[in-house]
Amino acid sequence: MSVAEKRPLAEASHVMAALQRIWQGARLNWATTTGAVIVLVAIGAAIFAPLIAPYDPIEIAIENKLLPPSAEFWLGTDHGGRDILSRVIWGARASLTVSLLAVVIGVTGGVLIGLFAAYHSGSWVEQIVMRAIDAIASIPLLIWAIAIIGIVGVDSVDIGPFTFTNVHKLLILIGLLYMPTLARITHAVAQVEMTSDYVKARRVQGAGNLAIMFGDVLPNCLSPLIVQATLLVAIGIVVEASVSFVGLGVQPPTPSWGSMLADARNYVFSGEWWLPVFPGAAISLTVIGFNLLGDGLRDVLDPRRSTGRLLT
Amino acid sequence: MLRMLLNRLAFSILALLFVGLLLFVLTRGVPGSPARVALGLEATDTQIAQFEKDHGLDRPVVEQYIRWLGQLVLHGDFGRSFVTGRSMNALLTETLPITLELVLFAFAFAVAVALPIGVLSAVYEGTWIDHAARIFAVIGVSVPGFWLGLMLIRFPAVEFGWFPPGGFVPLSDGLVAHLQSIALPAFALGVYYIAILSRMTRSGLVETLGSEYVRTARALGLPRGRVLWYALKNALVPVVSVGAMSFGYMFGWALIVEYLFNIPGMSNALLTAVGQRDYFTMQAVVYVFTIIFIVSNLAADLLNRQLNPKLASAQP
Amino acid sequence: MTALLLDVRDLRVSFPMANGMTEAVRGVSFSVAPGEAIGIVGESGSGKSVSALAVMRLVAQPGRITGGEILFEGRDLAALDEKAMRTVRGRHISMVFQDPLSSLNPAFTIGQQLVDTVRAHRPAATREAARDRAVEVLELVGITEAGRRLTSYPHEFSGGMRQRVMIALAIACEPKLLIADEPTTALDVTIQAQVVALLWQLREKLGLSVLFISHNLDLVAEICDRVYVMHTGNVVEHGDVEDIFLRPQHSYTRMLQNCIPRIEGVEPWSAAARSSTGEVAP
Repeated sequence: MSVAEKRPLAEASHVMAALQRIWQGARLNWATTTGAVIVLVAIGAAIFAPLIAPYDPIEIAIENKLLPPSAEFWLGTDHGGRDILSRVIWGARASLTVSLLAVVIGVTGGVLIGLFAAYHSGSWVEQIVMRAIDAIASIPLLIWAIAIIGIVGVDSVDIGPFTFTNVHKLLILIGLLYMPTLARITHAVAQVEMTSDYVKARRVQGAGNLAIMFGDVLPNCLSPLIVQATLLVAIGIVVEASVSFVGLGVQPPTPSWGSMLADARNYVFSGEWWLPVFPGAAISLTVIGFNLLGDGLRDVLDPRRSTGRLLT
Repeated sequence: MLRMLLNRLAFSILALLFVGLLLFVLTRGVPGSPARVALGLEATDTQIAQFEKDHGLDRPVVEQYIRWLGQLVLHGDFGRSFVTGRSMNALLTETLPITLELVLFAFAFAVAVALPIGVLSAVYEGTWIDHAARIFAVIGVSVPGFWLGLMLIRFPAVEFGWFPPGGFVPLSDGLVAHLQSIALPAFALGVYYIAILSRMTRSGLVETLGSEYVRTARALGLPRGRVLWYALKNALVPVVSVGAMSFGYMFGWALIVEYLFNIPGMSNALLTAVGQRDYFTMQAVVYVFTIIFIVSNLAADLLNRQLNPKLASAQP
Repeated sequence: MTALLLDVRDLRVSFPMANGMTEAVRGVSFSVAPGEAIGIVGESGSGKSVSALAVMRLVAQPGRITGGEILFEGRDLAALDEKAMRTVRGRHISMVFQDPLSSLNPAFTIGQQLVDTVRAHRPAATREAARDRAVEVLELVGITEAGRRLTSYPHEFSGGMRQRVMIALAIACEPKLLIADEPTTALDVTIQAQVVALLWQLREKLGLSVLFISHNLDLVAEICDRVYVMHTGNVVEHGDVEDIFLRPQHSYTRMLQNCIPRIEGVEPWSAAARSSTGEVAP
């Protein structure tokens, strides 16, 4: 059996094996399954919001203003008479759109950069690229996200045929600032893989560099990347909430957990406890879900811990 | 070692320059002259042109950058805001110590709580102590600091009146009142880091307690306290560097906490500047934040290499 | 007949596995008389290291001693509580492990580790007295400029020196029995000979009894008087070194024998081979 045959990385069987490991791991570990369930619920809420939300989240109904939780409004109403439950459900959409898409951008960019750098391993190209990555990693995420949106303004921007709402700006920014972490992970794993006997064997077989990169090296990077991506989603949710909280994120009247908390702030002295509790609980629970899931995935996929420790 | 230090330092400086340039371009690249913001909407074009000439705003961007950088590096002067007319240095001197104090309190609090929790979790691995600590950590790392702060304002502050619901009492107005005004924000800011640091301590300690050199220590009959310290000293190495990094990250989250608790720190300066479209002040504040961030990352890296005796004698 | 220093009777050690308890040591008995050097030989997994660790009550959790007695100077160590065991370890019985790099704490100087060991068993000793003992014991194991080397870290030493440091730690409190678990396996062959020679010297100088664990029958023969051969948790053969070599009874012992490359005409255990400095000469 040749070296190349021993590790059919690009084949479906490898992916199946990974999925199987995830499934087995999940069944043994209640924390991970809880996390996965929470994540699914959150994503479900985001996708099916129009179907499951009992009321319109935007329409103002002053007559219902500031009602405590009841049979009619399970989580009460806000200062505009809007149902909190519906707003919380719709809020999932904003939070998850930003955090998931930001991670997608980060992963895409990070992987390409990391692979590129590893491909040129040992040369000055790699040095420059990784140094540039280090420079971007020197940028504190939250501060700059707020500052840049502060500079650019919260209005939508038209570039060519595209309209970038504030949400788009935010998720692109976060995505860009995620790239260094993901690029470093990809680069670290890919660098090792490039020197492996397996890759040498593949070259001898005549496989082109691109094929090796994407077909063979990349699948090996997937495990730590998946783990890191999950944890970055969790961070992204809190970043979006924070930016919306100071008014620079999701703009009213679109519901966002962060801006709901900003509204709740005005009522902290009076007794409307349901205004801050529920949106905040939504954020916390969703983040817990992604963190538990990420941790569990790490135990299964990346026991060597090439990603940073978060919870264990 | 010295060579490596200089290497890292040089890179950090380069990063600072790069980031400074980026920031500069962003703030100056905004359409709309600061002159208009300063002089008002009725200003004529001539007045605007004159203003720009007076303040060197009509020069090419690169030249402006070099002047700004020179003023900063040689005189330590961030210049003057066009919107408020105030010296930015004055603003920073007013606000930076407050933010710094908040972060220091939060950090000290986090470390003081995280280490014992981490050690106990490791020593009593598998018992209820360990499980409880893990649950607390999961919650602590997931609950947004500003929501925790909001809940703290709502309950201990407003309901029970134990702490002021916001605002900052300077030290000159009384130590107790001062501490009371900082307590809740520092707590809200620190909880996340208690979670992270305690877990790191725990996992590091569990690993080192199972190491061969700890087995040797036991085989030599060393007392339990000593054995624990033998393990802990090794386990803490990554914790120290993560701690240093966390210090830098804390400044970012301090922004939201300050906003929530109405504490007149740097974040306040930043958000006010945003509101006033005072881009140059924004630039100065963001740059200071970034400097702090880069410095703590550098410190973390250096500490890591220094404390790990094997790494200390290795190549840069 | 003088009383035995160490008398292990019917020792059993088990580890919980996914499908129940597995016995790694299944009723093993061996003894060491004062001044004797005893060898336990076997391949990986034979239970020899676990037996040694059991004597020190250092079997890795969740493994446990599940039967037998470990009589040291008449006291059953298996029945002692942890606090009492701490007074035995390092003071009456010491152990040297296989890999000196991972067995020495990288974050502390060897001086600190030596001083800690001395003061663990002599809490009244002053720091200076402990330091002096540290220097004394480093010189005993053949480390030159001992005073200066107290401030060095383990990674600053070579492999052979590190093992000498381990031995120094082990003998710092003048134990009666030294257990050496594969002390030379991680070392170069030339260094191996030096370490074995050192153990031989210490045995003579300090009247130390030695329990030498190894997979290498030849090595054991250089230093030991009697040998136990272990295989899958049992002692399959034991006797004087000569008997084991010349007249191996058990097929396993014979197999071990056959694995050793020989210089023609020389048997390693003979007096001629073992000169007084412990060097093996053809």
